[in-house]
Amino acid sequence: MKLIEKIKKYFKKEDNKKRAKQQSVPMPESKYNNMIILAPYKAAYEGDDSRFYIYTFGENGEPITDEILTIIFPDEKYELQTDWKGMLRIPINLPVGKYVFDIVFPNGDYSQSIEGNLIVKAASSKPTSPKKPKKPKSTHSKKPSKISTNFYAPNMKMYSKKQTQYYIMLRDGNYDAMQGEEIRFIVDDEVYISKTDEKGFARLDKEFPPGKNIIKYEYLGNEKYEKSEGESTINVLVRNEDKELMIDVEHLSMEFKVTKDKIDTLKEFIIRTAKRNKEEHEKIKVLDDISFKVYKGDRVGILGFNGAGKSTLLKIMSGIYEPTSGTITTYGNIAPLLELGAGFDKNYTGKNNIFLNGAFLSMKEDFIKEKYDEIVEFSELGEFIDYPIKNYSSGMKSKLGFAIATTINPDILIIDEILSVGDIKFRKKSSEKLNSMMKDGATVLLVSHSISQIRKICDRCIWLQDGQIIMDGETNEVCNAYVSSANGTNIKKRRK
Amino acid sequence: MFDTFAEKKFLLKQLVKRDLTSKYKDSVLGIAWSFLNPLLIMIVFTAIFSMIFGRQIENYPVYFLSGRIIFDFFKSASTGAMKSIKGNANILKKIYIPKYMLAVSKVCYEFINFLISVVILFGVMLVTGAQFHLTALLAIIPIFFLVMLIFGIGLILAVCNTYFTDIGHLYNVFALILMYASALFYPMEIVPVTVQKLFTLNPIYSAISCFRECVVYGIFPNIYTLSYLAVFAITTLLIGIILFKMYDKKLALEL
Repeated sequence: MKLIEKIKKYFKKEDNKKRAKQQSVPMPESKYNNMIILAPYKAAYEGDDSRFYIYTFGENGEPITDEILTIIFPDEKYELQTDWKGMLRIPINLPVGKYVFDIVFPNGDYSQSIEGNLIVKAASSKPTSPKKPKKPKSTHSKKPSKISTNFYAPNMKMYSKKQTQYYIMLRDGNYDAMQGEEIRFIVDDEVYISKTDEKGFARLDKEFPPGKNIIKYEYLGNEKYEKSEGESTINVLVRNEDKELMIDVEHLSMEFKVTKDKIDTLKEFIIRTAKRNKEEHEKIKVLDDISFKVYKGDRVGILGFNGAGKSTLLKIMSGIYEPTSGTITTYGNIAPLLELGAGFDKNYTGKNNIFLNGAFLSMKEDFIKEKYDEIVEFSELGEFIDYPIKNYSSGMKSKLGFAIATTINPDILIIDEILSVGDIKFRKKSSEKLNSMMKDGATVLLVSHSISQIRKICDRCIWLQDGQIIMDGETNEVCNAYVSSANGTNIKKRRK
Repeated sequence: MFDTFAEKKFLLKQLVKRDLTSKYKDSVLGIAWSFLNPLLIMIVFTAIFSMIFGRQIENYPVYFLSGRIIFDFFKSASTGAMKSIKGNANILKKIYIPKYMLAVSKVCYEFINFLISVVILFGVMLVTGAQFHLTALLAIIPIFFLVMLIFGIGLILAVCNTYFTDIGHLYNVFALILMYASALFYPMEIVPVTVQKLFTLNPIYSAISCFRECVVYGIFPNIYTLSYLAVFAITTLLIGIILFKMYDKKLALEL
């Protein structure tokens, strides 16, 4: 039900082009546009283990939850996640002094910063009011022999950077910090040992790869304390600005002239020019002011009903068509798999066609010679390689075409509805090849009408309709919307 | 894509090879036709016209063949370049390749055929006992300008032919006129002087007469004729390149 509502929303917005364009931005900008951050002046005492709180909420007064802000002190940097109340806690562990710190929050692809202030006073000037013992929601009943221990180790989202630090706190049954204890971190079967500091924090310095990382930690315990263990996940996200831009599409428009009777003879041209009714052609906008960015390693699926402009987009990207206005900038070498075996000469043998097609795909002669055996082996043609291509079955041609086109390790792979060719064996092989290229960091643009294939391969989807981007986002979300909209239109038609 | 020279060179090589192999595909004599074709045509023309013009022209076969191979080169290369874009529509719609490379490959392919017919010409000269001259080496100069001219005309025609299919038919007729205005098989002296002046405006005639002067008569080519050819060729090439650049991006949409 939610989805249908969503789609209705999107369609309403279609009238309002500007709104629609905003929708196409991958990260919801509006969330941060009017973000309010409350970082009150705060006086704290040296050695006080109280926390400094920062509150965040959006323009409607709702707290911004689960978002990572970076707090930058002159000497230290924290990357912290807001909790469900939009609150963020900074552990204060600073010498006496006045501090100005920056709070950096991501806004789409950019960071914006605001300032906060903090004064740390000397502990001696601390008022004598006794430190209130923390009120643990203590449901634990203390065991007589050993004191139970537990960890404070939140799951985290953090943006990738070279060195990531992860803190966990070891506490006893009263939730008091335990100092000088040995904590074992286990990440990917590697063990890191760290001692807790006076506030009970143990630190793990490690570079985490992007994606979900599971960290296990354990405290072995001793005569007095019980053993304790647990695990947390750190989800390392990559900011778009940190990723390498591969394809930059800016305000791309494409028009085709369509005439009912095309003037392609000189006679007609002259007659029409004389009669001055040459301007009979209509213009069809196939793509209408499209902008998006694709980053390295992205696997983008392009969805859309027939005639939505998908193939035209890919053709412009591979340089076959020149857009009417706007630009596409691509970085790195492209392997366009728009049609397998395009440019094959049917009288040529498979071997000659490998060289011919390689030349069409802008490969160098030495390169083809070097890869020749590999191509023949992959295409499984065996002795047929020395027969003219006109004797090949269409599957054999596709295999050969695929084998040639994928020999270069492309930075960008543009695929238009070609993965469904060939027999099961070849399909398996080709998808294996694709997977290995994607593992090597190839950026993929895939047009397919097979939703299951898109779900399997892509991590981002762009839904085109009538030359405009209707939706751009996470694969499942877009696919679901697309499928339900397709079903929706079917139902309407049936009712009519 | 096609940023380096090596990639373009390989493409050119493959395109020329494709043309060469497809030309005599399935024919029994194969590449031998490249030699036989001009030879047979020469024999036919010699048999017919040497009766009429034999007295005015010394060594008619060499006279005819020297003009004929130049004109053939011009005609087939410019026609090939003209059709190169439209003829490769199925490739250009699927793969990006620099379009001018197709025209270049056609000219290169016809140039190879031309070189073969030059061999025939020398063979005929040898058989008929014609004298060989050192100035034959100078023939490179008019041929160089001829190639420029062909490129220029080929590029212009390629663009026009993509937009208007019947340019091809029209060009056939035009080429026929050019042939008769090139003094291929008759001596220039038989046409009236006023028409002769008109003929000298024909750049192909300029190329043929320069070529004959170098190869057949053993004299340095007429400097006025040669410079006319050079100016004509360079201008045409410039116009061709500019026109092609202007329309290069739009051509794919017209296919």
